[in-house]
This record gives sequence, C-alpha cells and structure tokens, in this order.
Amino acid sequence: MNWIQVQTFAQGPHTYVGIEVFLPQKPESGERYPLLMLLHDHGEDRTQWMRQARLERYASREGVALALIDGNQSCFVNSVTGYAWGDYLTKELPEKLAGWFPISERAEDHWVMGVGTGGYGALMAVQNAPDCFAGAAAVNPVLDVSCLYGTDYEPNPGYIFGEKESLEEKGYALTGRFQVPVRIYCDQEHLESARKWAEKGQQVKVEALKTEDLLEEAFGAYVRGGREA
Amino acid sequence: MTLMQFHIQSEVLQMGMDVWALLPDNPHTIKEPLKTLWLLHGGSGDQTGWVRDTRIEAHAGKYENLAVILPHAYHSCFVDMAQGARFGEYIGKELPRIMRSLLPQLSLRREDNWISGFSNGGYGCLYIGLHNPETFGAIGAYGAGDKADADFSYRMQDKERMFGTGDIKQSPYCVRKLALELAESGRPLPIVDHGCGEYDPWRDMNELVRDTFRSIPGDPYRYRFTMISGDGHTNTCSDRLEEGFLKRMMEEE
Repeated sequence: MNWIQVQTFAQGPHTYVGIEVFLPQKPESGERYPLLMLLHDHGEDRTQWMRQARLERYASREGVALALIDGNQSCFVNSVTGYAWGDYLTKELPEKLAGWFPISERAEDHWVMGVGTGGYGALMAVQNAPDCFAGAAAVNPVLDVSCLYGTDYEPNPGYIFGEKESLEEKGYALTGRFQVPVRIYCDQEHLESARKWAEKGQQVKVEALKTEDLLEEAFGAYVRGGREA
Repeated sequence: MTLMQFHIQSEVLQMGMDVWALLPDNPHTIKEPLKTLWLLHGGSGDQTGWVRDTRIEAHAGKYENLAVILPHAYHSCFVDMAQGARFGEYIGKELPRIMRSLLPQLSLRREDNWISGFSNGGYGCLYIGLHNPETFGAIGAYGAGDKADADFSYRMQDKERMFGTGDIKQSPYCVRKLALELAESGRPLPIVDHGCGEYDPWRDMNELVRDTFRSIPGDPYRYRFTMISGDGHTNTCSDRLEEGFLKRMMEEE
C-alpha cells in the first residue's frame, strides 16, 4: 500500500495535527476507496494502530483506505473548553481526505473505529453525526466517561466534559441506541459489562476477542465483514 | 500548506521511494485542477532540501491552487544512469502517473506542470523537461549548467556511472544538444526559465546554456535568464529564483 504521513492544520482544535494515511491505489486505476478512520486510546497517538496491528495486509486485500488520526487527550469530542475535535473527526477530516486523495466522499463509504477512549470517540461520532458514517466499531471502549472522574486521569476530565453531574445534559453520555450499525469488540475483562450495556441498546453488537493481539483481531474482523449491517 | 510524506513503490526503479508534497490546506474548496511544480533537489540533497533550506512553502502558499511535489533521486543527477538505475524515467514518466493517481486533484495539462530545480536539480530538470515536453510545459533551471560542459577529470567514476564512457556532448545527456534538437522536432516546447548567482562558481557553464538558448531563432522556448547580483551558488539564490519562477508561471503566463 501507499503510506502517506500528512501534517496539516485542523480548524476544529486550532492546531497542526498528523494523519497517517494508507491507500491501496495502483497508478492509473482511478478508483475511489471507502474510508476507515482509526482512533487511538488515551495516552497514545495516531501511530498506535499501525504499531499494534498489521493493518496493511487486511486493508489492501479489502480495498479500504485508512486514516490514523490524532485526538490528543480529547476523546475525539468537542470539549467544553472550545476545542472542536468532534467536528474535526465527523466533518472537516472526511471532506479534506476525499479532497486530497482518491477516497469516496459519500457518507455511506465512511467508517470510524477506535480503542479505549478512542472507542468512546468513535461511538460518540455516530451518535452525534449518524449522517456522516455508515457505521462504527470500538475495541474495549470507555462506555461511561464518568468513571474517569476522581482518578489519576490527566488532564482533569472536567476540561473535556465539564461537571460529572451534567454529562448527560451536555451530550457526553452514550445512549447505546444508534442509527447506524455498531460493533463492539472486547477482551474477557470488558466483555460482561459491555454486553450488559448493550442489552438495552439499538443496532449494537458485542463480540469477544480471543487473542492477545486485540487491535489486529478486531481490525481484521471489522474490515473483513464486520462493517456489514 | 499541508506537508505530506509519501512512501511509494517504484516499478521502474524496483524500490520503495520517499516523496514529499506540499498541498493546499482546504482541497475540498478548490474546484479547478491544481497546477503542479515538480521540484528537484541538489547534488547531495534529498526530498527534504527545498522545505528545510528555502521558503518554498511560503512562496507556494501564496497561491491557492498550487501543489509542489518533491521527489528523491539520490546521487543520480536525475538521469537514466549509464551504469545504474533509471531515475530520469522514474521522475519524468512514472512519478507523474503515481502522484496523479494518489492526488486526483493534480492537473494533467502540460501547461499546468512545471519542472524545476537548483544545482544538480537544475541540470536534472533540463534533462527531464527536454526529454518529456508533452508532460512539462515549463522548466525552471537554476544554478544549472550542462553536465556535458563539466570538468569530470578528477571524478571519472562519477562521470562514467551517470553518463557513460563516451563524450557526453554526443549523448542524450547533453542538454544543450537536446535543446537544439527539440526545437527542430515539431514536438511541443516548454517555457525555459533559467538563472544563477553572480558569483556562482559554475557561472560560465550557466552562460554556455544561456547562449545556446539565445542562439535559437525566434526564441521558441520563451527563454528568460535572471542573474542574482551579489549572490553565489547558495540557498538564498535558489530561494529567490524559485520565487521568481512561481511568480512568472502563476501571475504572468
């Protein structure tokens, strides 16, 4: 595949960001590819997915373009302090990527997948902007960000979500009821609580991961067929 | 501008290659195809040279529909080496195909595609531009002499590896010969913009190239020569000449 490291200005969070793009494009084929965006966990950066999973072997076989994006400590949502990482993910970035590269501009060809807090970000993206994606997936996602309060989590989650008591009111609580298909991949530690959470949900499926290569197993499953409704 | 570092596969070279590119920040707002500057590095440089050593991003960023592609050709003079890899074909033929496929906004029109470089890249853009006039509508060659006029007596191995054992003046590596032959060929001719610093140690070689273009009746290359006074074979010189080339191509042509 073609690997492209992009440094560009992101209007949402008012900062320069890195993006790792992988394109299966062969010269002169003229195709436009479906897009899967990958979101990292807290304490990581955009390179997490390429370091912890062999992405190219699956993506080239399936003809999918990948974008590994930075969210810093934002959990990929618009923060109460005014950094619009959520808008960057759902609107700004898909538009720019389809502008620069041979990537489909249609929402039905766009998917988002994340791990940990990035899993929360992926689910929030389709909860808030279901018109922008065909679906989402999450690996061991943080399903309730109220659990981050009162821990050693840096920076204080209040800078992203505001008061712990007003998460629901401010729209930072996941409802579990989605308008597009959602897959959640969990290891044993996270499986039970995710299944319980998904019981009252809509369009959400939970699957168990069997190996220690969580990201590779989940990524492989999602690009090979998990994206289908 | 947006900086992109490409890692691509070249079938011509049969190796993985690095290419840098500068693109507009907001591609989705641009409706017309992007004009494209193919910019070649100096003798011991690489794809990073222009970005690190000059203000190319500021110059190119003044225009909203311009892309800059920065390839790497190692120590090859950008030619199909007599004893080595075909870097001339890679940059002149394969790379435009690859980059236009990966960046579909790049213009396919020869009038919108310009190849340029400084020092070794100045010779390289003459060599590639004059061999591929259907692809490149303009050449911006700076600090650029003809390797056929260079003194290789103290580095014969370099000369033979790149240009073979014979007389370069009688070979397709001689850009002055190429310019004269192409002018007679009936093929489309690129605009040629040329220049060097007043104190360039190879100023005499630049002037031989200049005199060749000026000798062609009717000025079919719309040839311009710019001398930067008080400067030599330096990054400040290449910066000013490249700024002038972009101004000519984006504002005057």
